[in-house]
Amino acid sequence: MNPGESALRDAWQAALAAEQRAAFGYGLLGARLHGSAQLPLAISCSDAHEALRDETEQAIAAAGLTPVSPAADYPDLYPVDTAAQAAGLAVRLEDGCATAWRYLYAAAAEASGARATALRPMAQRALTAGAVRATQWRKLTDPARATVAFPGL
Amino acid sequence: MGVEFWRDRPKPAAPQQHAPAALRAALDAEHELLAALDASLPAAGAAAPALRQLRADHVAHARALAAAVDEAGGAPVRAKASASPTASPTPAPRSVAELRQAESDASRRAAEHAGALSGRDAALLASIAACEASHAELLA
Repeated sequence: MNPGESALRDAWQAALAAEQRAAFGYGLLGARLHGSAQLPLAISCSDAHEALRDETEQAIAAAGLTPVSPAADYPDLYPVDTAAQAAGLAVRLEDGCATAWRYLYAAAAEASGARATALRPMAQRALTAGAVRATQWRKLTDPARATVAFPGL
Repeated sequence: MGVEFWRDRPKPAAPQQHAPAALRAALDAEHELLAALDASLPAAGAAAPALRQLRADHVAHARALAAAVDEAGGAPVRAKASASPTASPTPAPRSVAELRQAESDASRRAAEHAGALSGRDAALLASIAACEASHAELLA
């Protein structure tokens, strides 16, 4: 096994778990945004996370590993009773995914081997896309602090 | 060959003795973005608050990159002056659209620099690349 390979596998599975959580979370918050101007953003983010979750799960399986299963529920995501809570949850979901993908990038940057090399561009794309989505939400919820200097930290 | 064999060869420079070129290039890029923002802020009007957010992030990036260069054994880079020959001392003010393009370009280059590095420096640049993409989004 290449150095760092075990940490790389764990980080890859953690990225999948973060995407599973985000896909679940967007299902919750989307229900609170019906009729809201924020609904189209919630739908596009939800679609992006579902696609990334499926892509990551398939890639992990194709590598001969068993993808982690999603949780049946995510109690820490509640309550989502208002539109404001929904938007706040969206920011938290995006930040959580950015953290997971940056962690995977860091693990890949510490490891050697073909898998680490292949995972870096993937992790970069997901980290960047998550930072952009987080800013889309913060523009609505907290426009004076719509960006963070180090997404995923 | 015999003589060569006896001659003391200079030891190859240890990687830690010089900051990787990608790290220095990334630091130069941050200074150029800061100079462009400083030149553009006075006439930014309604966009000024957003540009100040961007500026604060770039200051944090430059500080982190300078620390990484120092740690890698490069010459001290705490002085603000940019070493880049392409950096104009007083860049012209840019429009929001031009700054947005500059952030987008900077994001792409930071990701390339990240790919050329390893370890913590690579992860730092990966995060900076993501931030600069979010800057382009903020200016959209």
